[in-house]
Amino acid sequence: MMVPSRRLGSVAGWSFDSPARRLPAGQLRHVATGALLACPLMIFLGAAFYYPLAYTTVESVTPTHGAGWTLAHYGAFLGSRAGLGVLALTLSLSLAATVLSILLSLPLALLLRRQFVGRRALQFLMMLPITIPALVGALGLVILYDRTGWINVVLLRIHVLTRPMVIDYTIPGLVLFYVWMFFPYGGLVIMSGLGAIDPALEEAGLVMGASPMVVFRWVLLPLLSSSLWAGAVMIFLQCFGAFSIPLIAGGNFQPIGVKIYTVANVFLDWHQASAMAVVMGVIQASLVIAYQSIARTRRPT
Amino acid sequence: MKNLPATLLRGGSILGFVLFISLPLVMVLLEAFGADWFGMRMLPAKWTLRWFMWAAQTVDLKGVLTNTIEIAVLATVFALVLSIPAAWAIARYQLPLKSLLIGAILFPRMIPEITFALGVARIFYAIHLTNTAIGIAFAHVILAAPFAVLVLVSTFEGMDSRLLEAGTVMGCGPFRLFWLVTLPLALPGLVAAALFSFLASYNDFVLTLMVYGADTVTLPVQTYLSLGNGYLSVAGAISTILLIPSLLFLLGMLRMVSPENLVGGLKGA
Repeated sequence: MMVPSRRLGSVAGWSFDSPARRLPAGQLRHVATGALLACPLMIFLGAAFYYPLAYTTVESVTPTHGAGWTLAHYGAFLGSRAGLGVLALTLSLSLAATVLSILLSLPLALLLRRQFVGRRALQFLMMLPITIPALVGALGLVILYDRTGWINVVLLRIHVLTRPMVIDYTIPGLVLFYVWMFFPYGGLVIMSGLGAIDPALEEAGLVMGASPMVVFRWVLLPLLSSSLWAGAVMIFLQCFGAFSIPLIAGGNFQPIGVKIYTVANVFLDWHQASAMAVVMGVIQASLVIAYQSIARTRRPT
Repeated sequence: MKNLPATLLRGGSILGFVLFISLPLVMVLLEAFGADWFGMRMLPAKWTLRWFMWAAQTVDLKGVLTNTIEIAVLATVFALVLSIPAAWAIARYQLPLKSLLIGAILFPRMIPEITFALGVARIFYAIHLTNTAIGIAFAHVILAAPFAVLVLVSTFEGMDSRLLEAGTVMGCGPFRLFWLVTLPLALPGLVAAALFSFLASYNDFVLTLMVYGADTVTLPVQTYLSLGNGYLSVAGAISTILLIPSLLFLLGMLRMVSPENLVGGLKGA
């Protein structure tokens, strides 16, 4: 069905003062008024966001001592074992957490489709990790998975473990914490994807005698695949940019966000930190563009 | 019960999910309200408000809370003042390069905060905006404005132009038209944008960490500082207060919209 697009970015929603459209002079005034209205915000963002961004970029190519420009800071980061280790850690943490999060959100999204008692409560819980400050989540996770935390105490009492398991400040622990914090981003995308699927397609499959598993595999999953990919990119982006969790719960494992903060605030090497920030920003921005192209093909407009 | 094992499996996985999500926050509350909680104990030996008192005395909880709210209110006002005209222009004017304009407004939410927090800190430091409520509020507007614009654009686009035309035909002047027609139509969107902005500022940690100073410690920063000093229970107490607006917001929001309509996310890392 074709519906007039109300999407952001479409040339929509103007009618009220439409006579202006017919006269070139009036159109000029229309455009000028609109531009003027957008001006305050653009000036603000220019000064408070784009200028700092440009400043960081310039810092990243400025030598620590003396004038001119240099790529030494990028070389020191991208050309060193330590630097590449930071990138590898960040990417592998994010990838592992993304895969696990999708495996958690898919069944959950399927479950939340039905109406049942407590559905609202489950929705509340699902939104919880991404609504509360990440710092509070990180604090709770560190306490829960501590060597004397509930997880270990319970597993010791029921004799699953004989010695406490170390989860905090390990890589598997970080992956688990990332899943806790970021899976809802995937869950939301999958839920909205499920909502857009015509129930008649599933019913048709069931009426034809297919088992629910077969319908899931051959009807739902193909229809959902673009949502799954979009959800995965969304989760990956969040994991890649994670800061509070690895800051509190990372211990010696410092992904790129925390590393930038340490290099700037502890080692006070702003040029090096700036180069790392530019690398991080470029990776993230490319992923966002990838996400948007997936999201665009997903919409049947 | 037509299929007992399936029901059990479903119930079990729901229970597992509920525990997985909720237990970390239960731990924060236990830490905040419990005393003598160590070793292999499941629950604290005593219940106490001691940590809140400690927080009030040793880290000036009242001052920190005042800072946080003051900054959040300033950031909300700035974000609305800047976003309302911009959103109106995007929703109701035909502008060249509109998608570029929208992209430029949303871009701050697309890259991690830490990538631009460095530059913000350097520049704010140079012009003496660090350690001021205004400065931190400005930094928070970078995060709040994109959300406010998103919410407001869909509000303004959804407004029925015929109502505005009807008002004009009925003889409303521009001022009365605004007061009697436009404002009531836009009010829910304005309230949502204000709440989003307030929460974005109140909860922000990364940018604040880069531009705060001794006089402008906020709740998230104080949580981090208390953790760094090894006062886990005090950090728990402060976190408990930090949590309240988010929980109220989430409860209120779920009453109004279904979560899948919120794709786009709520906050950064």
